[in-house]
Formats: sequence, C-alpha cells, structure tokens
Amino acid sequence: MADQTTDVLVIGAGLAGVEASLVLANAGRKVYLVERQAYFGGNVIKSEEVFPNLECATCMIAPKQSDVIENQNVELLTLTEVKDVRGEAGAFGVTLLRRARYVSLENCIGCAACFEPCPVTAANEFEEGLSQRKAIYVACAGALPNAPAIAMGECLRSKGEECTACRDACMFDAINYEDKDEEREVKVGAIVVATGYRLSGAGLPDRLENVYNAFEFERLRASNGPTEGEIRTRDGKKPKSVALIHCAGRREKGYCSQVCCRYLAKFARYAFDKLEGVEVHEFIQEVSVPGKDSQRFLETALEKGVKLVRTKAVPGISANGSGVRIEFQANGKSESDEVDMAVLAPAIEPGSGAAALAELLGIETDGFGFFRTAGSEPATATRPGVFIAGCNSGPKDMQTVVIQAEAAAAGVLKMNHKDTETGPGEETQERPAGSGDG
Amino acid sequence: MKGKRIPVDGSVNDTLRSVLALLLKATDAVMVPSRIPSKESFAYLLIRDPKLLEAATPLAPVMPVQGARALQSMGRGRGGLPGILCVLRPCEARAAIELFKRNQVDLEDVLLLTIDCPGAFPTRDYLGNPEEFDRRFEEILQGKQDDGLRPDCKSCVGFSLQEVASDVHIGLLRGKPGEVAVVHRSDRGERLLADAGVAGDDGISDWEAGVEKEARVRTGARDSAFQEMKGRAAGVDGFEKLFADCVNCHNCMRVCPICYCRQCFFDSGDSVRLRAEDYFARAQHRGGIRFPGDMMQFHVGRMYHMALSCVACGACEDACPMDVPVSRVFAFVGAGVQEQFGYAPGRSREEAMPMTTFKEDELHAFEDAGGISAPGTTETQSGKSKDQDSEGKVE
Amino acid sequence: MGKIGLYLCECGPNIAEAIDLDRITAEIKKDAKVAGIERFKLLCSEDGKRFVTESIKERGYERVVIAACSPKQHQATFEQVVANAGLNAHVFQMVNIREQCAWATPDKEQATSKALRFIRAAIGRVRYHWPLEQKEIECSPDTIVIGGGTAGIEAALRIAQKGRKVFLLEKDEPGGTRRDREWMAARVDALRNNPLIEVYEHCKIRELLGFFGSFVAHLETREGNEVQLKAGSVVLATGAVAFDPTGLAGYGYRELEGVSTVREFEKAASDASDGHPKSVAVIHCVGREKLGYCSGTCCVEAMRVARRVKEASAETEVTEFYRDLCLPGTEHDRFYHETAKTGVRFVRFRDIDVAREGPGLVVRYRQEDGSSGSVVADAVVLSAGVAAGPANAEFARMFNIPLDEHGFFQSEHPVLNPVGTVTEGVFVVGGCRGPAGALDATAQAGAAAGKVLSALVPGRRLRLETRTSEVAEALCVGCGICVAACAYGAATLNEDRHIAVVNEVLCRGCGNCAAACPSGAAQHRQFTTRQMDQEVTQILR
Repeated sequence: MADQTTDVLVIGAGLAGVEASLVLANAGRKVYLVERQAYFGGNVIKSEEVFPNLECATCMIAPKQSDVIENQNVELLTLTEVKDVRGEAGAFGVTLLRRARYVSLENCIGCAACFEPCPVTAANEFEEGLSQRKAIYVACAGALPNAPAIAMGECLRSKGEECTACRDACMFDAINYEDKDEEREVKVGAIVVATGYRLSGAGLPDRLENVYNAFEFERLRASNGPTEGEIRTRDGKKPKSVALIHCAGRREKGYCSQVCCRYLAKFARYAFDKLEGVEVHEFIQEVSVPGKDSQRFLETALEKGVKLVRTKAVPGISANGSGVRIEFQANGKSESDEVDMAVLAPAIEPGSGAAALAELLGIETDGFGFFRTAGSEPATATRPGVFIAGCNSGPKDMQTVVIQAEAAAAGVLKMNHKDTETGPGEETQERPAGSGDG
Repeated sequence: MKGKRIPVDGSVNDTLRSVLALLLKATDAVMVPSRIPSKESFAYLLIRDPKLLEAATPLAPVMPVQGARALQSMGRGRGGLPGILCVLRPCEARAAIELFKRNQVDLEDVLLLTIDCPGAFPTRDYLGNPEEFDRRFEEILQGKQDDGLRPDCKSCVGFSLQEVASDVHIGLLRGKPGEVAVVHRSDRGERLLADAGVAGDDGISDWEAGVEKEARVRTGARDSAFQEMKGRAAGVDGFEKLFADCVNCHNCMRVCPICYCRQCFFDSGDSVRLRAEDYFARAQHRGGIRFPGDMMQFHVGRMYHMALSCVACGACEDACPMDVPVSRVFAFVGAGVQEQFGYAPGRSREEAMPMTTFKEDELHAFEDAGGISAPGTTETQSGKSKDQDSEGKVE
Repeated sequence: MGKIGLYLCECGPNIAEAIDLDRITAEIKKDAKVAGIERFKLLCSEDGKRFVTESIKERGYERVVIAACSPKQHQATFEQVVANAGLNAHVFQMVNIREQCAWATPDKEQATSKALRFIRAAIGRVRYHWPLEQKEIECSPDTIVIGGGTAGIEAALRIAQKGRKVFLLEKDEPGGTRRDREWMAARVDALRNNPLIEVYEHCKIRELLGFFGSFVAHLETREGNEVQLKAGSVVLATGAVAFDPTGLAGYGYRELEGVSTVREFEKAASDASDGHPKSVAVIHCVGREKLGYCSGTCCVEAMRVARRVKEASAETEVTEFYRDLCLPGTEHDRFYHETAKTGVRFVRFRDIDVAREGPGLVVRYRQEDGSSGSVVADAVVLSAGVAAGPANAEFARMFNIPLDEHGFFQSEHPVLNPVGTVTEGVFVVGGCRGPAGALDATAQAGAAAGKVLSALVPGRRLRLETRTSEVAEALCVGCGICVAACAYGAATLNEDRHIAVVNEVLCRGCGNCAAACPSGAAQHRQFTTRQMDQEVTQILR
C-alpha cells in the first residue's frame, strides 16, 4: 500500500522507551520518541542505586540517554503527548501535541542563570514535593535534555504580569514567551507504548509527617535530591529507627507488585549506609524474591541487622508526635512499634492517563488498568501494529522491562511489511490467566 | 615422607654427580651447572653424554646465571623433543615455574630437580679467589657456617622443598661424611626415580627436622632483614637513598629471570626517548633532574611488573656493579604483595598469577586505605606523600 | 608534526567571565606548540561550527584542540565539524573548561590555572594522535539457535525473515520442557514449516569458532555427517533442568512411596484410572536452600496441582505447605484466593518432614512461632525449583561466557544488556540464563531477536569500533597476560607466531590489555603511552 511506512512511534521515554528506541534506531528505523515530561528517563532516574549491583542509576542509564540524544534516527520530543491515532498497522496517522517549553533547545546551553531571578516558587513534583522549584525549572540536577521549561500555569505572566526576569538573565536568547502548544502530524507503521507506572495511593494512610512512600525515600537518598543524599525526617533530624512496610495497597489492588521486597531490601541498605546505629524494622507478610540474584541481595541486606517481623496483615500506621506508630498482629498477638520514620511500598499501577491512551490506541486493558498483552506474546498489544514495553503492562523489574522493550522492538522489526516477509506460524492465541504453562 | 638415602662418597657434588648419572639413564638429557674450562666460573650445560657429567657441579658455589633464564633460552615449543632433567636451586625452579605461567618456558617433558641450597657466594667475591671460595663452599656443604654468603641467601626461607613444584628433590644431610636423600615430588618424578633405580623407602625424618630447624633460623634472619629494609626504605626519601648509587645500567633487569619482555619498557623510546623540551620542562619545575633520567621510575616500575613473582634469588643484586641492595628491597616488597594476594611464586604450576584472575572477595585490607603492612607483620607503614612543591628537589 | 589549532570557546559569559582567556592565550603562545589560537563566543552555534570548519581548512590545521564545555554535551558535535573540514575525527581532542573549571569554582585564578593545565595536556596529547580508520566488515545476517525448547523456538520464529536464515540445533527433538504440550506441538509445527529455518535434530556441536558477524559452528548430525554452519550471531537457549530432590533429607523422595515431583504426580494422575487419593500434601520451596534462589514459578505450579486435584475430586483434602508465597504477575493473587476458596488449606512452615505412617505418609511441620502439627496424606507432591543445566559449562567454555555462582550464563549486564553476553553476537535466553517461566523465556527470546535483527542487517556491513587496542608484534613475547585481562575474548594467542593478537571486531577499547602488558606491546590506539605521558606531564608541571 502506498501509505505504508517503517517509521515507529515510541510513547514514553523511560527505561523501556529508550531501549526500544535504540534497538529500532540501530536497525535503521526512524523513531519518534515522545515524552510528556520536560525531561526523560522516567522513574529510573529517581533512584540513587539500583538492584542487583547497587550501581548508580543515572550513571548506568546516562550512556543510553546520550545515545538517544545523539542518534540521527531518534527524534526525541519532550513535553509531547499523543492526541489522536488513526489508520492501521503499517500506516498509522498520529497527531502529536507538543506543549510549549518557552525555552529554545537549540539556543539554551544549560547554564541555569535563569533560575535565581525567577520570583515564583512551587513544589517540585520530581522531588515528590520534598523541595521547591521555580516556575522556570529543571526536574533535578543532571536532567536531560539539559534545558529548563517554564510551568506557565505558575508563571506570573499567565496572571497578566509582565515579568521578564528569566529572559533578562539569559545571555543566549533562549527564552521565548511566544512559544505555543503545537500539533504535529506524523506517519508511523508501528507504535510502542512505554508509558510506565506510578505508585498507587490505594491502601495508604492519609498524609503523615514522617511516613514516606518509595519515591520520596529514593529522593531523600539521591545525591542530587532535596537533602543531597542524607536521610532525614521532616524536621531535619537523623532517624534512629526506620520501619519498612511491605505490601501497602496489595490487598486493595489485588496483586503483588513484585519489585518491592527487593527495593525495600535496598532501602534497608540505604538506611544502614547513611545512618550509623540505625534500627531497621521490616514488616512483611510474604517475602517474594524471584530470580537468581534476588535472594542473595535480600540476605546481604538482612545480614546488616534488619529486624524482620512477619505480620498477619499490613500494619496500621498512625502519627505519634513527630514519630510513627506501627500497629500489627504477629504470632496471634496485637503489638505495636514506635519508629522515627516509616517507608511504605505502595502498589504499582499504570501511569496517569493510561485508560485514555488505551482508548486512543484501540488496545485493551485488563481489570487492573494495565495494558493487556496478546496471549503468549509478551510485548504485543491487542491490536496489530501496537507493542507494549515496561510497567504499563504490569509491575516488573528493570531487567524484565529492558527485555520486554527489546522484544517489542523485535515485534516491530518483524511486522508484515512490503519489504519483509514472515513465515507462517505467527500466533496470538488468547490464553486464560493462571492456567497455561510451566 | 620417604626417600632414598645415599651416603656421601667423596664430596657432596661427587655423590650428586653419580645420582645424576643414574638418572641420565632414565631420561634423555640433563641440564646442570658445570665448571667452565677456565675453572673460574660455571655455566649451564645440556648434557646427553654421561662422560660430560664429570664436569658437572650440581651444587655450585656461585650462581652467575639464574637457572630459569637458562631454561628460558632453550626456547619454547618443545613438543616431541627428548625429555630433560633440569638441575636447579629451589629459587631457580620457582622462577622457572613463574616463566612457565607466562609461556616463556615449556615444561613438557622437562623434569625439575631441586637440591637443598646452602646459599651462594657473591660472584665478584668468588672471582677474586676461586680456590679459596671453592674450599669454603666444601666446608659449608659439610655443615660449617660462613658469613660470606650472599645476604639474600642468608635470609632465604625457600632453601629446601618448601613451596616449590619440582619433580624430584635431593635433600642434604650435612656432616662428615654426610648423606643425601632423594625424594620424588610428583608422579613424573616418582616414575623417573623408579626407572633409574634411585627410588627408596627410607625414613628421612632426621633430614626433615634439620630442614625445619634451619628454616626457623632463616625465618628469623629474614624477619630482621625485612625490618631493616622497612626502616631504610621508609618514605620516598628513604627509597631514593637506597637507590642513590644506581647508574641505570639495567643489569638487574637483564639477569632477573622474571623479566621476560622482548624489550623492557624502560629501554623503550616511550620511556627513555622523550623530547628535550620535556626534560627541560621537568628541570625547570624541579630545579634540576639527574641523567640518565627515570631511575626511580625504572625500579618502581619493574617492581610493579615482577614483584608478585619475585623468588628472592638475588641474581639482581649479584649483578649490580654499584652494590645497590636491589634484591633485598625487591624481596621485601615482593614478600609483602605476595602475602596480600596469598600467592607464592613457583608453589604450583596451576596456581594462576593474581593479575590474571579477578576475585570479588579479596584485598579488603586496602578498602580503608590504612596503608600496607610489612610482610609477616600486622603493623602498617604510613606512606608519606611526596611534597606538593618539588622545587629544588633533585629527581 | 602536524599543525595544531586551538579553539577557545567563551560560551557567552560562562567561560569568558570565569576564566582569564587572555592569560591562557598568552601562555599557550609562549609554549609555541600551536600554530594558531582562535577564540569564539559560542562554538556550538551554527556560526561557531561553520567558523571551526572553515578556519581548519583555511589555516591548514592537522590537529585540533577545542576548549569548551563537557564532551558529553558536544564531543559528537565537534567531531562532525572536524570531519566536515576533511580531517579524521580522531585527531581532535576536546577539553572541558566549563563544567570542570569555570563552573567548578568561583575563584578565577584557580579556574584559569586548572584550565591552562588541561589545555596544555590536550595539546601535548593531540600531537601524538593519528587518524584512526573506521573499518567495516561483511557479516552474515544468519543466526544459529542452540536449543529447541520454548526460548529457542520463539527466538527462531521471531528472527526468521526475508534475507535471514536460522539454523536451530537441538540435541534431541524440538519441544523442550514446556508443560503445555499442545501449544508446544503447534509451535514445533510452525518451526518445521518455516522455509527460512533449518532444524538439525539429534546433533552434537563440536566447536564454535569465529566472532560476531562470522561465526562458524562445527556439528555432527545424527547420521554422523560433519556439517559447518556460518552465521553472524548465536542464540544460546539450552534450558534448565528441574531440581532433583533425590537425597534431600526430610522429603523421602525415591525412598518413600507416594512422594513425587509435580511432573511425576501429574503424569501419574493422567495415567491412573483408579480412584483419587483421599489427601494430598503439596510442599513448596523444595531444594531452595541448596539452590540459593527462588525460581519464581514453583508456588504457582504447586497451586495448579491443588486446583487440578480439586477439580478431579472435590472431596480430596489438599494441603499446601509453603514458606513464603511468591506470586508474581497480576493474576496470581486472585489465583491464590480462588484456590483457597476451593477448600485447599495453606499452612506456612519453617521445618518440614515427610515420613511413612501405616500405608500412607505423614507430613510433620513446625511453624515460625514454634508450634507444630502434622497432616496425613496419601500423596506428597514436591514443588521444586529449577537448576542450571549441565551443558552450560561446556558452552561457557566454547563461547567464552562466564557462568554465575549458580551455573547459569551471565548476561553482559543485568539491566543494560540482559540477553547479551561479553562475547559480542552471542545471546543467552530462557532457562540457561536463570529460572524462567514460559512467558519469561518467550520475552527473552523476543529480546534476543530484537538485538539480532537490529545489529545484523542483510546487506549492511558491520561498523567496527575505531578506538580499539592493538599489539605490536615486534614487542610481544606471547606471555598471554593480556589474554587473561580481556573480558571480551578479543585478545588471543597466536600459537604459531607466539604473539597476542587483538580481534578488532570483538575489541571494545577498554584498554585492560594495555594496562596489563608490562612491555608496552599492547597499546590502546587513543591512549598510547606517549599520549598519556604527555597528558600527565602537562597536568603535573
């Protein structure tokens, strides 16, 4: 058909999107890598260290990010979302909406001179509200692309004031208040959906002072975070005791999020590394550490002296002054524990907007809102030409995310196309959950 | 352990020669130090004709050529060639094994025979009066002490069959008349002794006790030698003082069996042929530099390259024209690094050199940057850092 | 000696105000080593880039140093600019005087001194840079897949397409150990019917030679013929084996009648026509201590046994003994709850023991709180994990791939390259890589397919890394230390010439060999002794 194209759209530039894009780009495909945030790297760049080798997450993924930026075949479009999808496999017409950055990526050299003069402050979402940012901001030190964006909703200009503080400070003519949201049409033959995940609020107590969720704790530990890597309570003190709570939200959501036992072991390591003499209390129901590296990882953490408590259900958490009270059932008795800080492992759910995106793409989701994969094809959505990679199809660890992303790329590369020929035998049978194969 | 006891008939070397004669019947050739015609030195000879054994001096009073070097110069790629029995001092055998690990010595059909080593005299001393030193060596073989032996020999703890993967070992029961004990150390060695009719089942515990006693003496001597060296080598200043007389002749490197490079890096253009402007720049900043340059870099660099395999044979110091205590320094450092890696050069052919393996779980002592302990001790030696301004400091 | 051009970027005020570029210019002029010093406001702008390209041509520079921002920002940019001027990209050296100097301290004096050292170092170094040739080689787009189980078959089916052949080598018959035999039969059919896939059954692999882009496999077919297959990539899919509980104390496997593994139990259940057991005990985590890891599939498998027993006979009592329930995936919590609803009893244990009691068996257990109990059972089913296959060691040797402590193949990096290995072009998928269920194995097979389809394209030559290492034959004495130091199998000993040789296809340019070589025979092309010596000398002067 005349309209067919081999170009690919990858939605989401986190770990999965980056990997899929690079595999496709190296195969010679043109890739539109679309990311709705002003920075890319997804959730992975929030962590200081990652399983299994506890290497620096940003250092680990930096070469891939550089590759994305420099690769001639990848067009990275930040602050961009998918507005509409028409057509079919081999010839999708996609409407992209690029939101105004108000900063020119060509002219900006990333000198950060525009931040200081800005009079507006707001909570920094990347830092989970643990620190403030300006209206013109980058998510964190080292975020890529190395250029800020203006959150126009907060900017004084949107309230009618003629504030030009940032533009006045810029020596490179990089700030453009006239920038506008812009639609753009692209034609692609395949789409890879890699929109990632967020932490669910299900089953979590209301905001308590020294109770943190996983991302918040990661940002405390991050050397480019709000406390430059120091673990502190909200009033700036070093906690003498930390409670790690597993499975917050599991019962409410109805599934195991799979990676939390491992990252809580990592959090135990964080606490022991940064807080001399700290007590770490871990509250678990089931310990789930599949994979050949996981058990040793857990054991190494436990060896440092974690007090492991098996509870009947997720403990109740309440404030106790500035501390946290943990109430739980263990060995048939009701008990309670007082700690300075508690960290929760919430359930993992698809990123915001997943349902709407699924509808737009014409793909199915499962009962939990995750994008459904087609039967025994782990990286294929329920519509031809659409592939899936990452935690938007279910919680999974980084290794599995990358594997799925590469498999999604394989799916794209193997698609029926005028220049390729596939053999018979492509099956996409539906297989009911829970039965099937061992 | 059991072996074959043979009474000394004549001199120790006479007896060793007759043992070799028997062994030569069960192998194709023997490589053994032999007196050269001028009677003033010794060289390694490869002997197939038993008559030539008469000139052999299996235990020579000097070691002008390290036996492992002799083995190395025989070339590689032996496959199919006749078998050789190689007579070596224990340090030479260890060095040979270290060269084997580096593909420089082919041990296929080569059997290593080590002999208890009482030590050797400095070659220069010997050459001054060969007859006198020959006589003194005979007395040493009969059990007498002699302070004229090389300093490294006096503190050598590997003088017998400790930690050397030889195939046959001949122990000396020194005395008048004295005995030798022939033991096998490997399957091949056992077969050779059996084929040659030199196998035996005699008890040799008196010899073993003697070795242990001597080992204690030597260990004490080594500990003091290391303590002394630790004091003298303290800091960069101490180190420089030790090598102050060095004239950069590189003799030590040339005679060292472990130094196997086709061209030593420190002889290469990258090391000694920098541009004049570079030397001038250095001189300008330091006030002055000595020539030939890079003397310290040569020694420290060579140490870095070979210390893990240093067998403390003393060939380097023996060859130094300026009496720099090279071997004593290198043996001290070598022992220290070998201890850190739990490695003993020459102990086993299968033991991989530390630089060719990676173990996640090792060298924890260095994680806290506390410094390096002197070998055999637990104290740390604080490394004094070189002054930041080196104005006026001669290299 | 080539004419050197030095470019100083002001980066607007960022460098110009933080560093005394006049002083740097004067000092460099005094050194008299560069032919020209060019200063520009913003070298990365379109004007700036054009300026660099034109001035290189005009002034005839043969070596270029650009002092500006971080190479991470613009190394690629300036390499292109230099290439546009007709020079080889490798005679150019970039110096970071922004992030590492101007932005590192407010002290202008210190920033300038540091920048001066860096620039001198780059000038010293670049004198010894040589053009490096970008080499390309022909490669085969075909693939050899070793192993005909789920992972191997899925990889083969995903890779086979126009312009590529797949050779699937299997020591027995394709089909592997997947539980769903019907599904598997369909896949094996697809495999056999695919005209682009050649299946060699009952074959033995004698040796594998070559490297990425041109591997050669020598095999012996079932008829005893020697066959040579050429391919550009290899996918290892040799699978895992079920953990064998024989000899494991306390379970009575092969000692007590009625104790069986899951597979044995299912087979017996499907064969048997006489009645159903009155009670069944299913024990999880069998062999876990020995294995040292959780296989991730056995809890679910154990529950499936319970479900099938209950489906066949609702009255049969089924007890599931577990330590921790591992229920990955979004469907398995629900599966667990539904299983419990069918009346299956779940008992958490710390210690367990199976013994004979009368005609049947008794399972005695102790719990975490110290309490104990026992359950009588007609049948005890052991749900055990998976272990690394025995063939792994031989393949590890053949392909130069390290095994981990459990005997599984190691990926090059768990996150950055999970199905690749240090041996470029060789991929590991499925059970041979670690415990994997069928969907995991399929995903990994897909991942390997993605990497293969992307790296080797029919008609496209393989571009090699330019910044590699080489061994000078005249200096090399064949000691082999560099061979041991190379993690990628790129350095090997040529036995005839008794020297080491670096394979440029496999060399990743890490420089380990150059660091390990005592004589300087092995050198990294962009980090030669001379280059580094100059850099260090100029930094320290």
